[in-house]
Amino acid sequence: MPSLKKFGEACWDRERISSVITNVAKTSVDTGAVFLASHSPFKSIIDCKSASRKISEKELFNDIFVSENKEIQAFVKGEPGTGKSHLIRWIKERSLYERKSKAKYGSNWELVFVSRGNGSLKDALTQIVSQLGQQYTGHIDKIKNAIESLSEETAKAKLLNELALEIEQRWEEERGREAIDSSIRDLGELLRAGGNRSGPRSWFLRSDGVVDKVIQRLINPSSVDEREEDFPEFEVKELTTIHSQYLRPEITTQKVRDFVEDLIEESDTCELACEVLNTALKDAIRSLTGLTGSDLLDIFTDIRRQIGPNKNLVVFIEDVSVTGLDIDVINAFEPRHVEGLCRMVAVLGITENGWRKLPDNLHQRATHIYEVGGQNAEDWSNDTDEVAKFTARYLNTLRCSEQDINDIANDRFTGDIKHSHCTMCAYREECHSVFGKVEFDGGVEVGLFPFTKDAPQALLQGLTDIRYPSQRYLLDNIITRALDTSYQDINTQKFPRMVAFPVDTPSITGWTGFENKYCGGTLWDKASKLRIHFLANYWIRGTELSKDQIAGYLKPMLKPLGLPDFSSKTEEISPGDKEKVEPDGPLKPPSPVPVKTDPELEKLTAYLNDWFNKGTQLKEDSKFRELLHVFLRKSIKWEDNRNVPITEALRLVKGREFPRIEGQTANPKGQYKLDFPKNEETKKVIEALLLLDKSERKNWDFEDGEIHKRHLSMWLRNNKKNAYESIDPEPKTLSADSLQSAIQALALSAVFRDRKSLPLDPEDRLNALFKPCWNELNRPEQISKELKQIVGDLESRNSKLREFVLSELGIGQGTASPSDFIDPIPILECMRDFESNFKLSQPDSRINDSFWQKRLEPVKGFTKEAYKSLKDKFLKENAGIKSVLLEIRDFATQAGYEGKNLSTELTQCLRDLSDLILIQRGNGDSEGVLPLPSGEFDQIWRDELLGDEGKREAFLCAIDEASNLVEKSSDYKLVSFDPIHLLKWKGWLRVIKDHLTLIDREISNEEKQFGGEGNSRSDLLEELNNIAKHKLDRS
Amino acid sequence: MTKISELKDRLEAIPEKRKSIQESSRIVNYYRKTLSFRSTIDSMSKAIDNSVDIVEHEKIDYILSQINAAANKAEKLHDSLEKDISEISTDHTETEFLKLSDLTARISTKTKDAWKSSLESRINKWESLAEVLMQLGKGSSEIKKQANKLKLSLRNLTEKISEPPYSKCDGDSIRKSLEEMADAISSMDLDSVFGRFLQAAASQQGASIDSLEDLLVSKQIKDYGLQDVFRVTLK
Repeated sequence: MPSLKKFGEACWDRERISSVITNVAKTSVDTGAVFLASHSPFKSIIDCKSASRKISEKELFNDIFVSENKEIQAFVKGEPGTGKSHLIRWIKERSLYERKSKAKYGSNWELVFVSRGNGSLKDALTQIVSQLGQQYTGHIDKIKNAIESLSEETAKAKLLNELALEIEQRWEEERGREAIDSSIRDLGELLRAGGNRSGPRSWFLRSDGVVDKVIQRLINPSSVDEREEDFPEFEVKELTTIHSQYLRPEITTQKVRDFVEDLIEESDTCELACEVLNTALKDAIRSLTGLTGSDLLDIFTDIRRQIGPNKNLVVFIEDVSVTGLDIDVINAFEPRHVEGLCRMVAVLGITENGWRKLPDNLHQRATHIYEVGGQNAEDWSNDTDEVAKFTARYLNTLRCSEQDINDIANDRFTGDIKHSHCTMCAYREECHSVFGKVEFDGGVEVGLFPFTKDAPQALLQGLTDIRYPSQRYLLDNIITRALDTSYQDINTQKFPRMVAFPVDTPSITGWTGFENKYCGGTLWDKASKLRIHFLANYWIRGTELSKDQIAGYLKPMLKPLGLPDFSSKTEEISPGDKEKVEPDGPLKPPSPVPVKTDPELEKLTAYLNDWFNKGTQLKEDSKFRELLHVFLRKSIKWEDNRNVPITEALRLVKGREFPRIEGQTANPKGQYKLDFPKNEETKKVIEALLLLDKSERKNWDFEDGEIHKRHLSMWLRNNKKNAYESIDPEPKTLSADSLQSAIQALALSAVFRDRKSLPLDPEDRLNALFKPCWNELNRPEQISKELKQIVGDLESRNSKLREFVLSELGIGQGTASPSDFIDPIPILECMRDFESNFKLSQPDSRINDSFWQKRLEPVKGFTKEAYKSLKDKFLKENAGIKSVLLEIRDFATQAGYEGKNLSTELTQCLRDLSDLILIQRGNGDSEGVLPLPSGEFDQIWRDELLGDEGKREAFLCAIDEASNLVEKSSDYKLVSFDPIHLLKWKGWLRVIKDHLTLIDREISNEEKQFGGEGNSRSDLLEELNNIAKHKLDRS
Repeated sequence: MTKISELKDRLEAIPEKRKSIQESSRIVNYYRKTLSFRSTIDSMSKAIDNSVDIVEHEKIDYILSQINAAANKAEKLHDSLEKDISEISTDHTETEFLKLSDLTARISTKTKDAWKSSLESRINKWESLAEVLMQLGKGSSEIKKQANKLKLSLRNLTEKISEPPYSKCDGDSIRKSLEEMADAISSMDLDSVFGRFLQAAASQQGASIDSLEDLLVSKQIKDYGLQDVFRVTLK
């Protein structure tokens, strides 16, 4: 043991820990003293044969060994880790002690102790051979040879062959069982199928298969946990997951493949096959090891005969389950009164599971059945004193010298430990006062440093992921971790660190108040706070105490553990005084923390602590996020953030997905906006909200309520700007850019709508912007289809754009949506040089990136390709106007006008045209020369488009305007220009042109008939003359 | 000149030209009709020339007067139109042409009618007799031969009844058939008692029963085996 320089250092050698604290009891010559020195007596062993009476280990020993000269077969059963092995070892040690002290039942005994060893049958049988001695070698040669001949690969192959033989040949003939059901008659063939090739046989021989596991268990070392598992057995998946590569047609027969298919498809068949395989497996293992069903029995009968009738053969087997031959072993040691044999006393350890699987006749044959697990273990773990004493014995053994340990061991069969190493420690008084002690018989006091009396049990009960609390768990997960893993922490005054122990972190309600009061100042860093919280939880069970009581108990531990002093004064209370504190005493909290006993609050607080202290994920985070989002929604004046419209702000902060907590478990849909990092500030906020939520009156009127309230206020003060910014688009310019686009789009729409420049008067300018767009009937005309699409698109967006601008710049009352007032400055500012710098700015494509997408959705369309090339579209419109002008010019030139001064010539053209049509159609006074009815042209004529001077003038003005426009291209003027007259006249001129063509054709047709007179006149005269000649002839 | 002006001019010219077209149309129309008139009158005039010895003179004179009237009409029209072709569009001209048309039609009809009636009157009274004579039995070979000749002549003439002889050839052929018919009749001594009896018996009225009392008649009936052939009027 090291010499201590100061109180708080480790008072044991780290190197010795592994030899003292093991998860299996050691009772060899070298370790027997340690075993006994650390041994904690069993006080409540259940005697299952006597109406579950509870007896001590001493009573158990007497039951077995002091009873009459009977054959004994005693079972010690229990769950793994509850001490059955320990008890059997203690009985063995006690037996040796009795034999050594030549007590009346100590002589003439042959003791055979079969430890689990490495868990293999080979090892178990080797132990028997070696312990019985040279004179018994002949009896066990058969066993020895069988075991020693095994090697891993051959053993596996041999076991599988034996298994096939058991099923195909021995099942009925040798084992006398009923015939195997016809549905699985091919099972044996399946086991052999494929031979040495990669067929089903290879599948069964694969690594980690059942056969492999059995062989590993039989011949190779295994861990304690593995040994305490059930012996490997065939399960359904072994037969239904045979990989297809093992069933290739070139390797397996159709029959085998069909059988595998049956196994996969028919669960009953598969389960039956497993049952048969597992039954056959036992026999196969016997055959493998060279033992027949009665071999072990025969061997031990011979041995007993050789020992002789006046002696006792005592056999201790730690665990009969490990060999796979448990029934054979148990049968070998069955009580039998046969003349000439020595008396047999067999003490057999068996797991609960193994016990349940034994047939009833074996249960009944047992003379004694003891149980150390189950309720017994539960009772032990609930006994703070017993757990503390269990720990103290190991602590004392660890501190003691070998000589002291031997002395203690020698005295153990006469009582508990008689020596405490603490008697030699200079800090004994202080240490026992601060960390507590355990007092054994005779006033032997063993200090519990670095634990307290409460700590081992509290930590045992706080262990996570264990099936039941047991001594083994205490040793493995608490004592070893404190004394060995945390050794360095203790000596560097960083003990205890919660991460060193696999325990839950229970909540201490109002812990924030404690920290606020006692852990102020810079010395109390996060690590220190975590340690004090851990200590409060497990060293003094702080969940049951007020914060002042916690401080009182923990204050003495601060210095030895290297923790800073508390920032507030408190009265020290030593652990020994804990019981003396009255519930209503001066340390009682002034008023109870609200809903302290609320299990939901405790659970959530524990999750929060685990998240913060242990770095785990935050479980049930949706509940915390719910609290946060309500807090954020209500506590922040979102309407004060002018960067984000209030409606948008309220939309964004609405759901639980608004806040995101670092390390949260859930990952629901939606986009988080405000991150809560894993830090103390976040923890405090959540804790405060949790307490407020769980408080009876839903206000801060509970203990430390004001502190929690202050935490929220501080958070708000520190983070309001962040919160505001969290709902801002990223980058922030996105919203301003989008607003600019929207305003420009509205202005563009207004120019399209009014076909004139925007008013310059600010009020008129704004009105023009917000005036309704246009409807389908008065939609502004465009010449190019590209600009038509833009106009159509602007039309569909107009109302949303207006709403967007109103929403962004409007001012409502409180959190109401803006309806009456709008801030005009940004709009007018944006439109300051609209006419001279006419454009529609495209917003950044990142407006689609995240949660702001919905807010900026009205301008989303402006990021499209169509608006990127708006300039091109204006050019196309310009080209369209040019094209129309050209067409009109062509009309004029084709009509015979020069087209140099288009409008002047068109004036004359239209006049001439009007005259022509008057002749063609006639008027009220005269009939038309060529009526030529034509629907389209008649309409033009009826509308007096040609004849009315005013209408002609509008057309000619449009031509002049368009001509000027195409010559001096200006996008703004282009948008202001209404091409409707041009387009109408373009259409009309086509009709007129067609009509003129019609007139021309009709005139030509008429003209073709002219000149058709020919010689008809002279012919007529001649013919008449011919007739007249008849007169002459007659005359 | 612009296209519109050109159209305008052409359009304005249309009414006048339409009028001209109308005249031409009428000329053509009248020409076609006149052509037809002239052809008909020519044909009928030739038919008259070829049948002047067959058709009654009264009828010929009438037809010739009508041809003369038509010629006068044509002459007047000729003179009028030659003087002013636009007269072609007047109602008067139209009336004159209608009259010319009527005259032409009348000339044609009258000529054909006159021909038909004249020829029929020459051949009809011999047709029944020829039928009777064709049935004469024993002992009448000469009569029978003449009867065949008569029959053949009658058939040729019957075929020419519908159209007058527009050519000289036709006229000659008809005249030849008439001569052959006359020869046959004269050869059969139809002026004797029995001859008259035969003509009477072949007539519509039939022969008087009294004529049977004539022994010669009775004897020749018996000789020629005509007891079942004749029709006798009992009144």
